[in-house]
Amino acid sequence: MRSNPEKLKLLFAALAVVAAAALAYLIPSPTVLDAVVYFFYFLMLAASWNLLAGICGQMSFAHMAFCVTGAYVAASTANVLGLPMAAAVVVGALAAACAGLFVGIFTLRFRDITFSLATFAFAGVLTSWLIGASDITGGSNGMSAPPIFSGDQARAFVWLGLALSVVFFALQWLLLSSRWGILMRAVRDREPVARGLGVKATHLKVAVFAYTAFWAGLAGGYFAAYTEYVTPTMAGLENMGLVLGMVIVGGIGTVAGPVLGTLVFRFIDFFTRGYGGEYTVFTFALILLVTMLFLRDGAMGLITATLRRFRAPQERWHAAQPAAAPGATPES
Amino acid sequence: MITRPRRTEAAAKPSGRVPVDLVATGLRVAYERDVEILRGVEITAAARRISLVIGPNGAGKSTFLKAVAGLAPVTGGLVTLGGVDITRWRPRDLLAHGVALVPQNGTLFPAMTVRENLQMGGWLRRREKAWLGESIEAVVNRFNLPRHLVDRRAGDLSGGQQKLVEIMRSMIMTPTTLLLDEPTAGLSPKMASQVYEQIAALPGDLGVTVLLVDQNVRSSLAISDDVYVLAMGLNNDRGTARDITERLGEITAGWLRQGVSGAVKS
Amino acid sequence: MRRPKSSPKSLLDMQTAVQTLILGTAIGGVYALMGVGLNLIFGVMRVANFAHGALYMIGGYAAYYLTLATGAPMPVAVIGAMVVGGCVGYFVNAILLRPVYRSRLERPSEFTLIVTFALSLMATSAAAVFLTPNYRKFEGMWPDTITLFGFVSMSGDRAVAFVTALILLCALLWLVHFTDLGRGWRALTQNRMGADIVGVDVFRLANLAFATSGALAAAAGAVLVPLYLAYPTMGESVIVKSFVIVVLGGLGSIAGSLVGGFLLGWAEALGSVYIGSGYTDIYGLVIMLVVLLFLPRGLFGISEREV
Ligand SMILES: Nc1ncnc2c1ncn2[C@@H]1O[C@H](COP(=O)(O)OP(=O)(O)OP(=O)(O)O)[C@@H](O)[C@H]1O
Ligand SMILES: [Mg+2]
Repeated sequence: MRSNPEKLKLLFAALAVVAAAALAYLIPSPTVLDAVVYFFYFLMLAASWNLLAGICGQMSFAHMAFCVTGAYVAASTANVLGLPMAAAVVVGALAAACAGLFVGIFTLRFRDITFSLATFAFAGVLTSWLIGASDITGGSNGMSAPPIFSGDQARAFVWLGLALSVVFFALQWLLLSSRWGILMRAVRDREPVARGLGVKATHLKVAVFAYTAFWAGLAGGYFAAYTEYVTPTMAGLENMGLVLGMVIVGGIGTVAGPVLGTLVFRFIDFFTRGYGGEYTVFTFALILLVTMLFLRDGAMGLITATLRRFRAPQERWHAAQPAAAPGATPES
Repeated sequence: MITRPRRTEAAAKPSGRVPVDLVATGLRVAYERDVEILRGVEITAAARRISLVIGPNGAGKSTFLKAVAGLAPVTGGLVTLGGVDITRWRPRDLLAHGVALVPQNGTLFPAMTVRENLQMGGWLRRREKAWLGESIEAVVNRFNLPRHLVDRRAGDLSGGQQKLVEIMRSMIMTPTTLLLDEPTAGLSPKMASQVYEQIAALPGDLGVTVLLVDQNVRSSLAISDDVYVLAMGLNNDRGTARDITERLGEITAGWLRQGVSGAVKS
Repeated sequence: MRRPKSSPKSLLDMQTAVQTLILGTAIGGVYALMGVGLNLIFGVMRVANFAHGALYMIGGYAAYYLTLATGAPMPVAVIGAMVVGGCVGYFVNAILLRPVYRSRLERPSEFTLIVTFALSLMATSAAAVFLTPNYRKFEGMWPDTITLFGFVSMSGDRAVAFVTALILLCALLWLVHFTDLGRGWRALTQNRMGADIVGVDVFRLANLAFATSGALAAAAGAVLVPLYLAYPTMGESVIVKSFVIVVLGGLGSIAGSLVGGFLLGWAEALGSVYIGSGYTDIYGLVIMLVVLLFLPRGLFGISEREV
């Protein structure tokens, strides 16, 4: 289901990000700018979930809960303590990371489905609490948040989103090329074996969980500051499904996958927006389903397969040679 | 006595209930890509004979049986049953053609009673209730299973008793080719010799072809006809039971010598 | 210091408690119906079916449109909804989840999780797109309020829902414990390899498990429409509750989710009376987390490592 990230793909991802920003710069229509801000918001969510689920193998359903934690904490610290919004967003992200640490310690003892269910339950508790505790959170009406920038909001947010995404991908690249990257994949592919070899799997998973929760919280704060509003619907199952879908459609476990997936989703949303959110969700869920059934490696898988077809034939022939079995050489 | 199977759809199919040779040629298995556990194994289980497969731990004996029974990913080679290609068949289709497996690790249904477990052995002929009752009765008598155990939960039985029930269940499956993976592991010596007696009687009494994997080399050699030695996923040696018995010391010493260096003469 | 029982205050307290427990039992029966269906699939295939809530929603709508189009009485509508839910469940597994059985997937449980999650998103949004997000309702069999023991009042439809749930639960227990199909399901739940070697057709049995589970979920949706109405997102809180029940009772244990359903019903009813009604959804989830923490196998579960 996953292939190793290559430098080419990284370059491709960076190019796509820059292209999106450039597009926003060239076409200064407010609708497009708005769409690009949404793109970066979802990109941060999808890319960080991909790091957790695709590379470390932990199918969490609590990602949007961390996003909304970041958003609410940012909004309330700014509102109550009078912190500038930019600082509040960072505080929110840190709070999300702490929440991630807590939830991670609690849930990462479980594997596979039990882990998914436990994170699912945590996300559910948080959402229900946000709606129920209306005296603190504003209930289903949500909470307003102060803006970060004055003046041309959207364009500033495009640049901010671009900067944050580039930072995310740069850090991810460093992470994956360090020994952490190998350990994460080892835990994903064969956790018992990795444990047997002395990898502290639970520590590693908790660390990655908290780190990705940080990015989810940051994305939440970014979004709250842009819309100047937070509501519990952000943490809904539907949004979790969309983020998950973006990663899968793009190609789970690859670096550029989330970028492509988010792009696909934003295009659908852009063109179906006038009809109401259900159309977007319906179309995208359909694409997700088709991807799962016929294109399990997502768009990246398709691209890799196409590229391979155009490679020099000898090279392919060499790759197809079976490796000699280590014990096959006769005793001398 | 176990009742012989009546004519069913399965019996009507080619190679249905007539004992035939089971032949594996160049069988390759890899659970993960590029890690071949079997690298071209050649084993023939001749009809109405007991063929024994021995080899050091991790040689791939269990993997071989699983591959034949459709439970391990075959990446190359061929398995035929009386000339019919049965490579990569699903376990239930194999069973319909009389090939049954008793794996090494526990495969009983722990929350069911022993009787229900035995009934599950007759899953493919579950509509024939009368036949099923009779053959359960027959098998319980044949293996001298204490009566009071029949209605106990299988999970509450001792390890050895569970192993015995598994073998009994495979009898209910009325196989013509029976693949047994270490059937006496965990059984007391008395029980083990009883099980060996039963196995030894299978080809003569019921015309069953037996492919036996065993670590209890001395006892199993005594009842076997043909012997294959596997090591590192390859054929290492073969011969008649008498031949191998004579050379046994030499063969097992060879296993020790190989150690982890993994060099195997092919 | 306890007050004498004759004191009006304590009598009132008692009556509230009894009323709460009875209401909790009534809804608990329907919860059990949902949980048992989900857990059947869990046991047989070791996968979580996120589309369970969508099947519940489909059942609600099917019953609504059946009564609307044909004027059929409620029992017919419920049976019709079960047929629809059963067929949808069957085909979801037979067509969409086919790769799980027929090709070697690296992570079958992940595949099922994502496919059923996508299906659930799709069903919910499709209902909103094609059937509008409006709330719909049909008249139940027994719309009057009934009074038990002189102080417990509850809607007759609630009683109807409870009785229907009980009947279906008994039918399922019979199916699981006294038929060959049920024995096959139990075999798959208890030892997958054992079931393989005795020749159980996993795919066929899984299809039937999905069909049964879908029919039960649809029935639950149908009987609750007169009380809670039909709308596109009606399955969302139900799927959460079903998972709570499954975890509570233990993965793969039918008896466990039966008990779990009633426990959840009582917990919600008691919680909303004695703690606060704004947090109904939270009580179950908190119980689930506590169970996961201290009793990872649930009340009657099979070993967690097997799952
Ligand atoms: N499901 C599996 N996935 C990956 N590797 C496996 C699997 N089953 C077995 N192996 C590997 O295949 C090799 C052979 O195993 P197998 O069980 O066939 O050995 P064996 O000859 O039966 O040994 P023993 O005498 O201990 O039973 C071992 O190295 C084992 O690690
Ligand atoms: Mg073995």
